[in-house]
Amino acid sequence: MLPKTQSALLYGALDALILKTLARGPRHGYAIARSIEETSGDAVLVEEGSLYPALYRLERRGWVEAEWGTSELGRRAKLYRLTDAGREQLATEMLTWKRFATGVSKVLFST
Amino acid sequence: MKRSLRSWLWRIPIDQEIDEELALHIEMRTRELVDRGMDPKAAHEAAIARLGDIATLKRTMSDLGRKRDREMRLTIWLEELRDDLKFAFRQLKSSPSFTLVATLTLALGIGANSAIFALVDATLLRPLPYSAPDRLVTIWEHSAKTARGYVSPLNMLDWNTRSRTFEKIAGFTPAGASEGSRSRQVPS
Repeated sequence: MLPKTQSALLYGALDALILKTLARGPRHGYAIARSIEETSGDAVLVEEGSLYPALYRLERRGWVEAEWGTSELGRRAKLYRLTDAGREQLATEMLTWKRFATGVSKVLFST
Repeated sequence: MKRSLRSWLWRIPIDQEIDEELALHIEMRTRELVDRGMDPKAAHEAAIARLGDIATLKRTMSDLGRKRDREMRLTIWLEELRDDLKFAFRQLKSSPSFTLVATLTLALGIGANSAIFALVDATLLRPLPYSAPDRLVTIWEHSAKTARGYVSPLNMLDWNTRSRTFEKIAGFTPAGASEGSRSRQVPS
């Protein structure tokens, strides 16, 4: 079983990570999780228990949009796609994250 | 908007949507673990275990999904309403004579209706503007010729003097009101 780490850290950033992943094109839930895990070099593990509620929340806010497509397995799959509003939100989240990360780093590495 | 409308029409029941989505996820994750060298059965169990408490997860998803659908329905309803109104307005603009006739018909219909209602309201529905309208009656003279004949003014004066049935009696002619002898006014 894969180890679960850093889920607490992930919580606030998950929305941003999902939006960023979808900016590269529509994907289904599993592909979003894998993409985040691979891109982060498996440093970030996405918990399904957070991923799917987050996707539904993002869809409700109109930042992503779901439609039925076909998966790699040739089965019907729910694909998520970034909307224009989602693209704007991603920019906001990236800025917020940058400020937050810079702030945390300043404190942690202060001498 | 077109796309979201279509995906809306193709929507399946929310619980089925969630089941299919999670089933695909488990299948994909199982494949990944098998590719990494795990035994298929163990991989399948691990993929399911990663979902955590499935009942809670499904409930959370279906709650969020239902809220999403409700809002989407409202949005679509408003969009359709806006489109209908726009369409109606365009149609009316493109045939001004029809618009004029329709508007006039409505105006006259509503006007006539209000006028008739105002009349009925004033004469039939509302009580008379006297202090005890339920004690007010009209007296006619009864004869072989007619059940409701006009009363001679002198009779009216006599009745007013002698009658104990009525508090006061007053009369009027089609040309205007006259007065009773005890009172110079219509009973009030």
